[in-house]
Amino acid sequence: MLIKTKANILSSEITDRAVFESRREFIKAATALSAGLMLPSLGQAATGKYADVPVGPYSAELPVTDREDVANYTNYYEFSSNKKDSTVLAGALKTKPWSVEVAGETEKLGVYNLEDILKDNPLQERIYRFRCVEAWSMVVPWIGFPLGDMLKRFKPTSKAKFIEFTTIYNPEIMVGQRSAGLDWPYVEGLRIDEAMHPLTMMVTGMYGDELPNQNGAPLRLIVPWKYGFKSIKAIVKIRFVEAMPETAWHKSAPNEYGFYANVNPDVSHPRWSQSRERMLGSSIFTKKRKTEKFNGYGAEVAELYSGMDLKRYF
Amino acid sequence: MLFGKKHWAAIKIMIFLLSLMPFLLMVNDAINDRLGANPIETLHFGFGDWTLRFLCISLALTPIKMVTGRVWPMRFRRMMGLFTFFYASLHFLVYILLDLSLSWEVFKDEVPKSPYILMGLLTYLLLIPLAVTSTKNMQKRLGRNWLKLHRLVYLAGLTALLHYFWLVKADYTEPLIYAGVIGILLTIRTAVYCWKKRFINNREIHKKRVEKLNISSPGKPRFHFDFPGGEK
Repeated sequence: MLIKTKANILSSEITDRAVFESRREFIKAATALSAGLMLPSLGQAATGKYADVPVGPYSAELPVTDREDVANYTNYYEFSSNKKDSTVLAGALKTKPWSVEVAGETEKLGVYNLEDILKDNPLQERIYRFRCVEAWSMVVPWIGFPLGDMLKRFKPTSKAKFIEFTTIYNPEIMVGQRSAGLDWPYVEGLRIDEAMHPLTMMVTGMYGDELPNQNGAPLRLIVPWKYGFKSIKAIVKIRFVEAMPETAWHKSAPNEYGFYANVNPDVSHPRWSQSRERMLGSSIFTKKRKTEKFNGYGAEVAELYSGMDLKRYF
Repeated sequence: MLFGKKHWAAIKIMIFLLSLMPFLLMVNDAINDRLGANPIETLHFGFGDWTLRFLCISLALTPIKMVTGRVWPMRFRRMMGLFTFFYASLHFLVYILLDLSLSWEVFKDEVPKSPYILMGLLTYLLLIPLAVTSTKNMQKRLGRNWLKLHRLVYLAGLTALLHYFWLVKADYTEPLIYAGVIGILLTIRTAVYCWKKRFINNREIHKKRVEKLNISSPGKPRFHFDFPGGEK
C-alpha cells in the first residue's frame, strides 16, 4: 500500500527534521543532566517508557504542541467540566491493572488484560492533529497502534456493523460521574469502516511516555479527522454491534453533536462557528488557524463518506 | 456614624485597589507566561467571570441597604458599577482584539453564528449608557429619568446570565450559581418594592376613608412606621 503524508501542509509549518531532532537531543541531554543532579525531571518525553517506539505511517511532520499544554488542558467530564480541575482529579484513577471486555458480534468474546493487548500490537508513534469541537486544536505525538489490527484479531462476525466503546464507570473516583450533565458511563462509537481505517488508533502513550491519566490513560481512542469527543478515554469495553450505538454527547444534545462528528469548517455548531481554531500554546497575538475539512485528513478518509450529505450527517 | 469623611475616603481607596487586583494579577500572569495552554481563553473567561462577580456586588448594594437600613452601601454603588463596566470592557476587548485579531472577516463569520456572543454584545451595549451617565453631574441632569435609565442594569443582569447559559456544553453549575445570586437579589428588591407599594396604597385608602367621614383632622394613618432604608 502506498502511504503518503499529507501534501497540503504549508512548508512554513513544517519543523526542519534536523531542528526537531536536535531539540529532542537537547531535551534528552537536559533530562539526563537533571536526573544526574537528582532534580525533578521535566523533560520525561525523551527518556520515558516509550522513548524508543518507532515512528509509524501517517505521522505528520508538524511542530508538536508543548507536552505541558496537552497535559494541562483536558476535557474529562468524568472528573470535572473544568479543564484544570479534571487534570488534577484524574490523578486518582488507578490504571493498573487494566482489562478490556470484548463483547457483541465477535468470535473472541472475553476480558483481555491490557498488557496482553499491548504484547499483540506493536506500538508506534504518530504525530496527529487533534481538533476539539470547542474550536481549539493541538498537534500530539501519540503512542499506540492501529485499532483495525486489534479488531481483526477479535474476529468480528458479519453482523458487526459498528463498534461501541465504553469508558470506565467509577463514581467513587470519577466525581463528575456523580452529577448529571452526561449520561454515564461515556459511550462512543464508530462505523466499522471508520474503526478499521488505518488512521484510527488505540493510544496508550504520548510524548514517548505513558498517557497521563487526564489524557485518557491507560487506553484511549484517537480518530484524528473527527472532533475530540469521539476519541473516548479510559476504555473498558469494546462491543461489536449491528445498530448504530447511541453516544454520550449525541444523547445529551442530538441537534448539536452528531454520531459522525467529522471536523468540518463548513458545518457550524448551532451555537458557534467551526471555521477556525485556536492552536494551544500559541501566543495571545497569534491569529486563529483555519480549520481544514476532516482536520486535514480528507485525502485519506473523504471516500468513507462519499455520497453522504455531511450537513445532514454531521 | 462610626466613620468620618477621611475614613470613608481611605476605605474607598482600599476597595478600589482591591477591585483592581484581579486585573493586575491577570496582567502579571500574562507577563510571566502563566496563562496556560489557551491564554486568550484564560483572559477572556477570567474577565467575564469578574464582570459577573462585580455585577452581583453592584446589584447587592441596594438590597443590603434595604435589609440593614444602613446607607453606607450607597457610597460604593458607582464604583462597583464602573468596575463591572471595566471588566466587561476587558472581556469585550480581549474578544475583539485578541481572539478575533481585530479581523472584520472573522467577526462576520463568528458573531452571526453564535447566539451567545450576540447576547454578550447586547449586554455590553446595555452597560455603556449606564457607565456614561454614572457621573454626579449626569445624575443631576437626568433627575428622575436617571433612575429609570439605570433600571437597565436588571435587564443587563438577565442578558448576561443568558449569555453564560447559552455557551455551556453540559455542566450548568457555574451559571446556576450566578443565576441564584442574581435571583435572590432581585427577589429582595421586588418584595420590598411590593411591600412599600402596599403601604402607600393602605395610606391612600385610609386618607380617602377619612375624607369620606368628613373629619376635618386627617388623623394618623393606621400603619405608620419607617421603612428600613427610608422611602427614597
